[in-house]
Amino acid sequence: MSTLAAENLTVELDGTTVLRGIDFTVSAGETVGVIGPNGAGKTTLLRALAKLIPYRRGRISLDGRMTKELPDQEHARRIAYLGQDGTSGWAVSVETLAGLGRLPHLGPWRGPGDADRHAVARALAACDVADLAQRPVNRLSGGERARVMLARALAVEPEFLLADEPIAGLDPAHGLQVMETLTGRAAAGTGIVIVVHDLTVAARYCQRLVLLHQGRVAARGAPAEVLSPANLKAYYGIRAHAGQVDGKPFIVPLARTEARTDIVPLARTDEPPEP
Amino acid sequence: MSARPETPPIEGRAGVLRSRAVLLAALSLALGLVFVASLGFGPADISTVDALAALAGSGSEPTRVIVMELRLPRALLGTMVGASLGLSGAALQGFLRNPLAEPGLIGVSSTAALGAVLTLYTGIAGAFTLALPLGGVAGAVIGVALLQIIAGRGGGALTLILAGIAITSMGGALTALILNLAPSPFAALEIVFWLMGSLADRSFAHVWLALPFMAVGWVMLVTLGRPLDALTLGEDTAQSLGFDMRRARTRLVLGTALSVGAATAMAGAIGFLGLVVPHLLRPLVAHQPGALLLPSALGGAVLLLAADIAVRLPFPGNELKLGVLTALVGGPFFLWLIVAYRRRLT
Amino acid sequence: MKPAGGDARGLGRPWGAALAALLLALSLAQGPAGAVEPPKPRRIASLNVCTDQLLLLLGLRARLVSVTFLAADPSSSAMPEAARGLHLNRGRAEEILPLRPDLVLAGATAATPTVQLLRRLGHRVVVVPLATRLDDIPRNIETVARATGEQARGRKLIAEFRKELKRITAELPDARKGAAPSAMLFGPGGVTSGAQSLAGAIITAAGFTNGMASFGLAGVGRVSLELVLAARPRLLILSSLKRGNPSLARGLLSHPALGRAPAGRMMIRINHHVWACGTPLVLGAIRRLARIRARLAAQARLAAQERPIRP
Repeated sequence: MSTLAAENLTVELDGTTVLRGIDFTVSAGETVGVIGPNGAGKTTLLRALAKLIPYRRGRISLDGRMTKELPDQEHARRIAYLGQDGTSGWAVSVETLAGLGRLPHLGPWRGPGDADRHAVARALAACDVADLAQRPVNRLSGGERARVMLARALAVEPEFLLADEPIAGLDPAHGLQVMETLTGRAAAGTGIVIVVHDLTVAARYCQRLVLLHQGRVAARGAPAEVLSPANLKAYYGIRAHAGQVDGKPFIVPLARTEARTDIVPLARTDEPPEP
Repeated sequence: MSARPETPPIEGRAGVLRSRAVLLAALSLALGLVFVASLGFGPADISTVDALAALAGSGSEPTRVIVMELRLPRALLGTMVGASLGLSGAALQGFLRNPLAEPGLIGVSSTAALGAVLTLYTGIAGAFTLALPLGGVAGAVIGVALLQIIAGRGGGALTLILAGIAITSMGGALTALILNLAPSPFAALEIVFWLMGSLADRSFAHVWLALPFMAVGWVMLVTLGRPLDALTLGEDTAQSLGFDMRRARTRLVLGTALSVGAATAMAGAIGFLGLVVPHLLRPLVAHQPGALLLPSALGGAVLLLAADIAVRLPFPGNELKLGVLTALVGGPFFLWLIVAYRRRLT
Repeated sequence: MKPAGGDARGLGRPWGAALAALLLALSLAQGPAGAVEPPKPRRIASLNVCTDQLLLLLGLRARLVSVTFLAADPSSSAMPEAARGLHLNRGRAEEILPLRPDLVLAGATAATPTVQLLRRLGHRVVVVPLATRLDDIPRNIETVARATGEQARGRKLIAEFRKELKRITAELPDARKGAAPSAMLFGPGGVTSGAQSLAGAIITAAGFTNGMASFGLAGVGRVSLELVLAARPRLLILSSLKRGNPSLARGLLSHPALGRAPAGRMMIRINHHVWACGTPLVLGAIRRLARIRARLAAQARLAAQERPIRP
């Protein structure tokens, strides 16, 4: 069983240490959610795992072998990355865009073969955009575009899929659809790592959660444990109502708790001047 | 949300390949036609038919000399320069993900001209012939480097164009300065050649001098097809698809500098070609940046040769400068592009 | 305003008569009305490379205070060494004003503002027009000689010039209409000379027809390399500049198309400065071209003799 693991990972960006001593693993077939407040380092962790940014200390390994040593194409075939900001520079067709996911499988001279076209078709079907195959991507709605981007990542047919907020800005129906597709992939054997803000989605779709706070792993484990009231108050600074539906937890944020000590209060500029 | 049966469009692939082959064949044919036609234009009364006969070895002696030493190298150089400009334009647009990028507009042609002028009028090129194209290449490298510094990462289309204006102005001013300071009395008059470009009176010496540099540049640019396709979704995605973006950028810089630098050193700064050609051909390759490269090279050659014919039409003994023509066509085109992409710019 | 005579009358009759007599005496002492004969100028400044050379040819170097920088440039001057040591100007008034010249020679192409300024400041400026025919050479020599008070030397120079010209042209074959071979001038950037130009005059004096005249070119113009090659002149004269000072225009003279000399076409290089100025130094060029003319005539005669006699 494949495992993608980060050990004691420390990442610095522009002189600031964004991640310190992170231990993280994901195995084939797992769905792991990375959560935490803004600025905790979630995107950085994902990008480091995708070999997009260098790291200072620690190691990232795939099946025990350091990803640094993997040839770029092999790494690209086995780990797919779906970033937040997905805009297409050109008005290519949906099918062509999804087809980009096959590039790691093509040699420098070999064009896409039947196997590649089948993979693309499967990816389009899995994201329910197959009937949009010939439409130019600049004429898609937000939801459709998000699904096409996901199809591109799925077309890679990787062992691991790293998705950064794949459902941001999607309406509930499309959001659910994307999550179902992802968990379907996990069931088929892909290891999924997603960064989410919606705690209910994280709770319902991820088998494990990793809570990041100020660059460190603050909590890890099953959703119910990680999303305890104590953790929510300590790391998010909120009070929430937790419940269960269909056997899975849900979280409804209710109110902010007292001021967090790590947030500096802003000056109050709305006071009237002294007479 | 219904499940669709998997029907991979197998004929789609063959269709795409076929349409690409048809496009390349059509462009090659157009190139051949305009190449042959351009042999028939010039102050001397030699038609295309006469020229072809001269190439075959028949015809009067002056006709043979004119065709072999003046018209043929001119057509060849026009092909090479046009290919360089079209190809680099497509590569720059693909890499910068910006349909407004092209070597003339972003200042590379201007600095290349400066480099060439430095080597020619100071006598360096007289002592060491390769210095002329090398000067152009060095100037082009500096232009791209300046562009990276000014517009670099995170710069949008507007920053790019503004940087291009700044670099072009500086390059033009320095070129004029060198020409004014040059000892030869003709130097100051030749600024028009360097700023507007011309293929007049070029010889095979220019062809052979430029060819090695351009050939290497072409190879570097043409192999950028896959990285450019991968870049459709941005640098992160391209990197995650296994492409080394730093190496791709190096190939882009060197390839552009070599081909545009050598072209400018031989024919002066010619603008707008690298803007117009990829834009015209993009719909024919389904907007894929990688597939646009080779057709843009061919299309650039066709368009430049056509322009070179047009400059010889109005006043046979006194031809126009190429840059005048490309600006007459490319200028309004550029304006239209700005209007069409207004929203993307701001 | 009262006329001056009124004042004299006001002063009284005897004074007016004395004044009139004084004025008359002064004007008579100056010779015929309008012809002012100044003393020989000793501080002569020249703003034109052609007048530079005329002055040097008249042996006036000792009286020169300034010549143009072109006079010392081998490309533009036939006698650059003669100008060594002299103050060199670039044709601007403020350069020669401090030298207090008493005569300034300028060419017709000199910047007219410069000439006007100098005249306004009271300097004597003599403008020597551009020579476009061989007859202009004696005329210009005379102008300069008269301005500098060296008429005798001028006449001598003119006589030598005419004598030598006659000697050269006398040896030329009969100028039968249509038999004169064509010659064309091709200078940097394709600059060439047509009918009414000094270069054209030199070419025709040496027994050739000016090929450019058949294109309808009158003065100086530009011709494309293609036309020159297509016109097939018997003699192609490349006007070259000195080594160095590279430019695209100069590079044109080394175009490979010129290298392939066709049968029956001669190509020579003549230094550009020969055509530039109307001085007796053009005789060198005429002499050289006349020699070529004679050689061509001899070849034609030989070819005619060797031609088999048609029955």
